[in-house]
Amino acid sequence: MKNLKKALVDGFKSGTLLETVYARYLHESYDEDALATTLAALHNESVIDVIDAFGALTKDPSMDFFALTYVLEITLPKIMSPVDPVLGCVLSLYRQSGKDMSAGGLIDAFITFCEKDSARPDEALAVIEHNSEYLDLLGPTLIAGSRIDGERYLAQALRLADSYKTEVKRRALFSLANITWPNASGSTESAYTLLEKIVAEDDDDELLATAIRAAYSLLRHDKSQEPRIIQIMDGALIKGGEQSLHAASHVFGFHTRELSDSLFNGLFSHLARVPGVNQGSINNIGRGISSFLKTDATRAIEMLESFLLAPTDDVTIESFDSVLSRVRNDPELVNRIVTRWFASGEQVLCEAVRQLIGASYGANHRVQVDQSELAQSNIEKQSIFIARKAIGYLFFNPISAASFIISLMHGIKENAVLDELGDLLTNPLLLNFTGEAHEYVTSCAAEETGAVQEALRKSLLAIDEYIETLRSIDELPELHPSEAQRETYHRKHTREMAQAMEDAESKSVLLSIVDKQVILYGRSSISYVYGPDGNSTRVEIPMGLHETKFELPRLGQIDPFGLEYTLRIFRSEQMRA
Amino acid sequence: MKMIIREYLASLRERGELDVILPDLLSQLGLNVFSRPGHGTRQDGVDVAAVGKIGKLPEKVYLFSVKPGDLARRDWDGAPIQSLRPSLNEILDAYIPTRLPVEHHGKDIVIVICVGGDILEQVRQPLEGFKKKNTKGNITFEEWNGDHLSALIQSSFLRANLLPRNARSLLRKSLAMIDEPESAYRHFSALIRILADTEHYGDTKRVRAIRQISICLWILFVWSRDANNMESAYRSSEVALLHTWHIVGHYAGKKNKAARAVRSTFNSILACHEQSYTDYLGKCVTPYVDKQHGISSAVRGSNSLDINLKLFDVLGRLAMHGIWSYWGAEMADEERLQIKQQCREAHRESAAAIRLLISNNPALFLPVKDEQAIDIYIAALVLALDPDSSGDLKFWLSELAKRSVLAYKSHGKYPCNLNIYHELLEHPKIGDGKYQKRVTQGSILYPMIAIWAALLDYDELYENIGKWKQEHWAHCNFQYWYPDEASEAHIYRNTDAHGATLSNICVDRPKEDLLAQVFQECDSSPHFNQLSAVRFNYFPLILIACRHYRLPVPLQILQGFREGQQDPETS
Repeated sequence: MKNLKKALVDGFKSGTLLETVYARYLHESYDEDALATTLAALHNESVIDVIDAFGALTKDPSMDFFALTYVLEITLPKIMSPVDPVLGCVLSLYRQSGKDMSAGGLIDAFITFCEKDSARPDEALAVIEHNSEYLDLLGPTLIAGSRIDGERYLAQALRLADSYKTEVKRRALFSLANITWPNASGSTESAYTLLEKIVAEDDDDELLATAIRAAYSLLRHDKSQEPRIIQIMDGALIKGGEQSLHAASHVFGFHTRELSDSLFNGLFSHLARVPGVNQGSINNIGRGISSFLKTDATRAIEMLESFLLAPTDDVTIESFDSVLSRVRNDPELVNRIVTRWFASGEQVLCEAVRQLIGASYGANHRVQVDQSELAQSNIEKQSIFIARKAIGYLFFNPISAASFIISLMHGIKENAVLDELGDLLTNPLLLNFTGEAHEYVTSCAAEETGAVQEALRKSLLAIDEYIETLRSIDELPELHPSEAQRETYHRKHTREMAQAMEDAESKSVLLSIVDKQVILYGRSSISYVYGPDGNSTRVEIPMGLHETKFELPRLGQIDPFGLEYTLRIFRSEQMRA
Repeated sequence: MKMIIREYLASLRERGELDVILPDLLSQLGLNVFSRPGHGTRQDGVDVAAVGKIGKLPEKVYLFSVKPGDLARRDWDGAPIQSLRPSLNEILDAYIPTRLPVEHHGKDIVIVICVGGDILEQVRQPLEGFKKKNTKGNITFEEWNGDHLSALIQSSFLRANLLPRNARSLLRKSLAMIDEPESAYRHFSALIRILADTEHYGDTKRVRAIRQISICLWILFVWSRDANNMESAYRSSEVALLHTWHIVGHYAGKKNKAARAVRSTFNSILACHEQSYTDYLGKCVTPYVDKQHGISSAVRGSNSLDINLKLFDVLGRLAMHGIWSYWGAEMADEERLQIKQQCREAHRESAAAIRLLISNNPALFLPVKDEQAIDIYIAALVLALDPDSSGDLKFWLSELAKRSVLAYKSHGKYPCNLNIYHELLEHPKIGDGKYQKRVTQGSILYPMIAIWAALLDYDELYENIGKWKQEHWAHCNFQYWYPDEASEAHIYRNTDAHGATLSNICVDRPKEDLLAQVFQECDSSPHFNQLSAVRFNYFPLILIACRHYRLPVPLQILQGFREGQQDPETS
């Protein structure tokens, strides 16, 4: 401790306090409590001036700006200091940090600092009102004040939120979203009135977004006037833009289980407008939907459908990655969604199935039909319909499509329908994919019994005959493409593969954090790693072969148009009444 | 070179091969061939008969009994029709006493036992005994084996002062590259162009040149057959046929010795072409047309473009076979009723094979190149001439049009004006509207389909083409090509641009207007009828030229359908 004190004092005296703090931060024996306590103690004893030193901190490659800001975060609540220099210091760091999430800890520290002395919020408010340069700290100041005297600071917040200056109004309103509400109802009535006035008179999206947050904060404090709050939010969302929608998505995603049906529905009706590019808002919505998946899957699926079917065509199921990840971990839910969405015939939902099963789920996940999602009165017709959908959308995951069709066969009693499903399995599925898909169906045929087994055998027999016929044709060099054509295609293919590799590498998370070195010869890589003691260790890394394979559909070459046309028909056709 | 020729002779294994080339060789040696091989059986044991002097020897009559390949025991005295001994007996017992032309009576007669390979030891004794027994009076025997024939061919056609060094080199290169048919064809075409450049030659040199083409083509054919790859032989036979027809044109209407020699050799080249396409189709196409995706799979293409290009090429070749058969039936007079019937049957079989090829290889429903209309035209012609195929023809034309427009609308692989392979590989560039318009600026495909639809009274298809023209192809110049006065000079050799194109074909007007427009142009132009191949009833050569050099097939060939449509009584 003595050493630390001495080092900090020496550092302050030599004008290198920050460098000393940073060195301590990096030291193996770094103890953040000890550092913060010692810094605060020395500051409070007027031996050093922490606020002055940190106020001079700038982003400098020699020191980690965010590490030092963090040190101030843990030190500031312990500091005894006039408010004015603290405002300057915190504001400087807040602005340099980009006003983003990383600055949140510092603002919290400032609020805690203000809370420590009831005079500080008043002092800070006076400085801020006098000097608009400090406006960014108005909200935190009012929040800190409300924790000391809720009613008084609510009144201050309402006063400032009613200002003619948008910048002041916006920041004051921000404090309402995070304020500690007083119990006295008179003050909250003023808040309702103010929010209604803002929604009625203002068009600023950021202001309306803050009004939504404030309104929800008020609702959590006082549930008696929910219809009024819903009206305020509705009004703000009608007038507001993306920021308002984002604020609503935050309420929806982080407080889903707390929302009443009417508020839930009210928000939901607006959130369908969220554009797919606003990933933050989409993530919030996804979080809300995910919270329903375990307890009320039907509602969650319906919500998802609403978003996917909304007119904004840039929202896809992949936008909801948290939902996707939860669904994929629940095979029964996958089966249910796949069946339901194929049966709907809605192109957007069917496309979502393709993304759910095929895109990033690992090719050829096996899927089963969920009979509860089918109308049993029309099971035959509907089975053919969704079998064609499965082929249309899961064509490039042939095992997924085959497993789905085979599971459909189990619910069928009519032989003609079974044959029709078998025919679909044969052509286009197995006719195009004679590798793993064929093996899969063969293994299924061995395990199945009765009519399903018979249908699968017929299908396999037809394909085997087809393949045998093709194999029986002699090598006919006259028909082969010329060497020049082969070389031209090979060059094109190589170029495309190289480009694809380059694109993939540019998106690789792994390659973004490591250096890439190319090994030209040999089968292992040798390097020497130097330890802290300066000694080197020889490391030899053997290299392995990494390969992947995929099967291209046969008709993609033989009849690309016909294949594409068939798949399009399967995708777009609808059930006739 | 002698080894090449020796190899070639030894590999001649069919009747109609060695005995076809033999008359040219004899003529080139200075003999007068007075009996040539015809269809059917030999003339009392004689395959070829000639008279004259060889070198410094006195004039003699040479009667050839030809046996392809080696002469083994079974060939000596086996099956009566194919064996040598019965043939020799027929010559002695029947030909010499009764069929030898009167003017050659009393002359020395040499019966030549002509084999492409060798006379095997197992036959030597009986053969020598036969010769000894029958050598009497003015009758003697000679043996011409592969070595002897090679030496004669080399000295008569291919020796250095007769065949230029670069031509010999091109022949060797084309033989060496048979497994790379594109290269072999390129070298052989260059050889043909050199040999056929006879504009300033006299008769003797011209006759020798055409015989050189014939012998080189036969050598290539035999080597290709042995290498199990007929591709270069097929294509080379087309180019040889077209170039030699151009030479034949110089002798049109003439009946002198040179004219007869040129026509005779042309027939030998035509026989080689016939043999090439028969072998090609028999090996690669007809056995597999009934197999679903059979020929498509056999292409072993790296991509759909390879399959598309090859299938339309195969379709064109198969259709040409049908055209030759149809022509054969038309040319055969009533006295050769059996041949007429055989040709008609072959035409029907070709049409059936085309129908199967199309239905089992769906790439044939959507051309990737507009110029594949040429192959479609010829195939449609074969189908239209077959009464059993009209329904399939209509369906095919309709699918071609429907798929083309759908592919165009969906930016699939729609027919385009590109011809270079690497450009076609990049086709289509999706989302590039300017590109789409640029590569569809002109078309012969759609007007050709519209013309067929109009001729076949397929109104629904005709109206659709008109509608799609307005909706999607307004920027595209629907056009068709007609021969002009320069065509006769260039159509067989592709030496320069020729012909004229009728633009803005009015598929969007009533079909009567369209037919009037396109056939009026036929009526007003005499140039098609002035083409030598048309004048001398070899119209399939025009189709070969169009297919080979990628020119639209003249609409004049459809005049019969037009007239039939105008007057069903005469159709």
